[in-house]
Amino acid sequence: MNSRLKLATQIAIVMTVAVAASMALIRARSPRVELAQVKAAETSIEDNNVLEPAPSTVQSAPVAARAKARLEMIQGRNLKSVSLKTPAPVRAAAEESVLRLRKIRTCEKNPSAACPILSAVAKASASGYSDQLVDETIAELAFLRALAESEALERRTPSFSVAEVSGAYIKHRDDNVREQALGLAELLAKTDPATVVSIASRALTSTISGPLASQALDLLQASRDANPRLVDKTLLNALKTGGWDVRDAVAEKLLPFLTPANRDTFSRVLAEAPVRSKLALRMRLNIEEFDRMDRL
Amino acid sequence: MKVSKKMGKMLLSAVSMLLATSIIGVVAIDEAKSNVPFVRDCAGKDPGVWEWGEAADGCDAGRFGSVSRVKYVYRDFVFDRSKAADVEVRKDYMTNVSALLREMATQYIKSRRADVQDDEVAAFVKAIRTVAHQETFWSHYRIAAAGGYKFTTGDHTISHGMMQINQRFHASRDQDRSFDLVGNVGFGVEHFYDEWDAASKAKCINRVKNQTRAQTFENITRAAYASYNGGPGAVCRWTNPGHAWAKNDRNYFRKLKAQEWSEWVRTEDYKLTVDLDCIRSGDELCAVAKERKGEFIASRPLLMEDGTTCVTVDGKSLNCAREARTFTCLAGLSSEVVKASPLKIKATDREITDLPKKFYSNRLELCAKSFPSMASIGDVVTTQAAIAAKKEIGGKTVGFTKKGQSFQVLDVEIGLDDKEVRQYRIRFPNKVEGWISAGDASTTESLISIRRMAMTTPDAKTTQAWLPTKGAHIEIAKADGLKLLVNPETVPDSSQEAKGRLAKGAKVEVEEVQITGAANEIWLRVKSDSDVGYIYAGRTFPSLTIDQWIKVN
Repeated sequence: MNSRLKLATQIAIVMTVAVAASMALIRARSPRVELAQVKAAETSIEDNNVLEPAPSTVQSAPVAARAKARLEMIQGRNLKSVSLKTPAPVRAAAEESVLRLRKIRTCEKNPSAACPILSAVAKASASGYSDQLVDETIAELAFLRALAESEALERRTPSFSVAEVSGAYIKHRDDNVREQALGLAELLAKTDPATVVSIASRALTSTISGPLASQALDLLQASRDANPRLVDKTLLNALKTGGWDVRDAVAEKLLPFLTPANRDTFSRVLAEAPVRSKLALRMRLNIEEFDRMDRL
Repeated sequence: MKVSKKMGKMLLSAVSMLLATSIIGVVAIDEAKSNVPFVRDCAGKDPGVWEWGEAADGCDAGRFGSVSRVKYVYRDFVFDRSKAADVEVRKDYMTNVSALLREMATQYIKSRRADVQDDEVAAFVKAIRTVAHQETFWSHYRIAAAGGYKFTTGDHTISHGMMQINQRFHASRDQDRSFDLVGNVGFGVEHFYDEWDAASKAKCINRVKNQTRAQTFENITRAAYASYNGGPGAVCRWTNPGHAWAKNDRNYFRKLKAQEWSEWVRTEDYKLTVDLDCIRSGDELCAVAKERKGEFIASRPLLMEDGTTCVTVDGKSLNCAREARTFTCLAGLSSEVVKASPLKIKATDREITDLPKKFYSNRLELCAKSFPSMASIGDVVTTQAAIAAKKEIGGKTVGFTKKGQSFQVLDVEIGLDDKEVRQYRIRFPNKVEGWISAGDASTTESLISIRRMAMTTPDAKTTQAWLPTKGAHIEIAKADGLKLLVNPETVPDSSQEAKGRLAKGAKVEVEEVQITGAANEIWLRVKSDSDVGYIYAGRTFPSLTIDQWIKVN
């Protein structure tokens, strides 16, 4: 074996060990069922009254917490300044994160050697590869959201285009990703409500998730005045052709969207709904409450 | 030299992998765990066999949802493994499930695209049946050979039910899209439709020219399944036989072509035994109601076409409620009504529709009479243990009460099945709201103690009041002020005359609180500096609107 070959072999071994170590790290951090955590005590008297380990409202908390920790690590105490300009390491981290998002997107469209197709997570199940990329996307978007929130708090110029990232990822097929994109859009409520309406409308008309529809409706309510016609159209479309949970979410949150001008249009949708349906009951009660607001 | 090239390739490959790991892998990758709302161990495991209705692990159903609801609503959709050898039992089960899959797929695709053509609907139905076959051999609820209701789970209990709904799905976050059969199949159908819609635009579909519509739908089906199974990026996986997961696509396609379920389904157009709209709405009464064919009607819930529900004692007059949630309190007045099978009454059934009707709208009064041990709105409940608060009844957990913690009740519900489980809606100090299950008449005391408040103010040290109470001083919050009326609108045939208007910011004292109607509408008799009269103060269902009318604290 000549010396060049020897060197190449040594480098390859070092690399292989490094890859194996990374894989082990991935495996160690990969999803697994913590039985001890989930073996919750059951109350003895009624089924489905089970004590569960993780209240659903805080499901995204670990993602957000990790994003915040990552941001704090980059920011560091010594980086905090009163300057309006974002410190260079933070700006670099934002650029790096956006770049990473682009690479993940490329991997979603065209798996290649540069993508984690051979990782333990990706190989674990048929959707493992897709799930892994989704998880990475969520982590990056959560990081960017933490970063943008921190910049807004410190009144610094944003180090990346919140509208652009949010607008791009609201088109993603995974609702967990879109939840993060909506979270980013929320930061634009004061400065760019028209974009918020456009992004939230897109989310509402393309999702089948009731919770995501609810999140989009909250944004639409806050920014409605920027484009009331689009908001009305979006809600009507969702009620007529949306998924089951989306329709119910719109019916439940309809009240703040009702106006003297659109009340009758929504009443016509109500007239066509199955009489005993959840949708019909919620719509009717909301229209009745709106009428009382006017009458009383 | 050859070896050297090979080593170079190895090196390149190792570097690529390392780069990939560093690009993608440096950030936390266990997000999946945090997105899984609830994963449970499989208690009372009933190992499955790959037969219709019996596939995958069955786990104790009571850990995932209400077994009594399964018995009430889904009795025709439970496979009894103690009778697995009986061909007719399996055929009954398969025929019912077949009708459910057909109806759900048909209703959904038509609701998304009103102009969809029949051949596409048929292709979509076939695709959905095949998904349910591929995932679980049409298995969802079953009774184990040794007894006990079981629920089908897979992937270490992360994937649930007939369509193997993965708990990562965002839609599973607040609602039960797994345990409830219609919820589970419904979500599978919705998710598959999304893939179906996207697949029709995929390159591997559009590049194939001169296909018949039937061939195109078959390809769309294969593409939709590939992305249903492998994620959106896998939409054309079925065209690559060398793919690591190509076997899934092959198996799916084989099942699609063979339609093996047809050997077990008695008739393709079998009429579904449950009402899907009613199940989705949580209206269990109408979910199982049968059309009346001259049956005796006394003490049976009668579901009218206009949405009202009535009951008769003597066959001469009807007692009715406009909403199901009011009827449950009305029905509680007689134990016979609760046990009786409901009937759907057509508008043309004049023998019944012509009977004089009395309408009830004060559900709280009815509930108090029917279920004396139940709390009412405004009462204070103190939990005797940590109890999960659910976003919706039977839905996902939004928080936990602490032992000894007290809450003002915002709304009440009672189950219509024979257990009559009571549910209370409460609000945590951080304003998160949820429903807590307080057991049935015999068990509720061990879970919750009740302080009857009759709308008086609770002790502020232990209980936060969200609702206006007697003796409290409140402020008008409505921007344009509030009408002060002679009578509340709830009093029929009374004067609706306004005595005047209370301006925003005006402070008044509450003398009396009335709560009525399906929305728990709150009417207050108030005393201002100059007058006494009634004002409207919002409602508690489906959401609290009090803040828009008055300030309580």
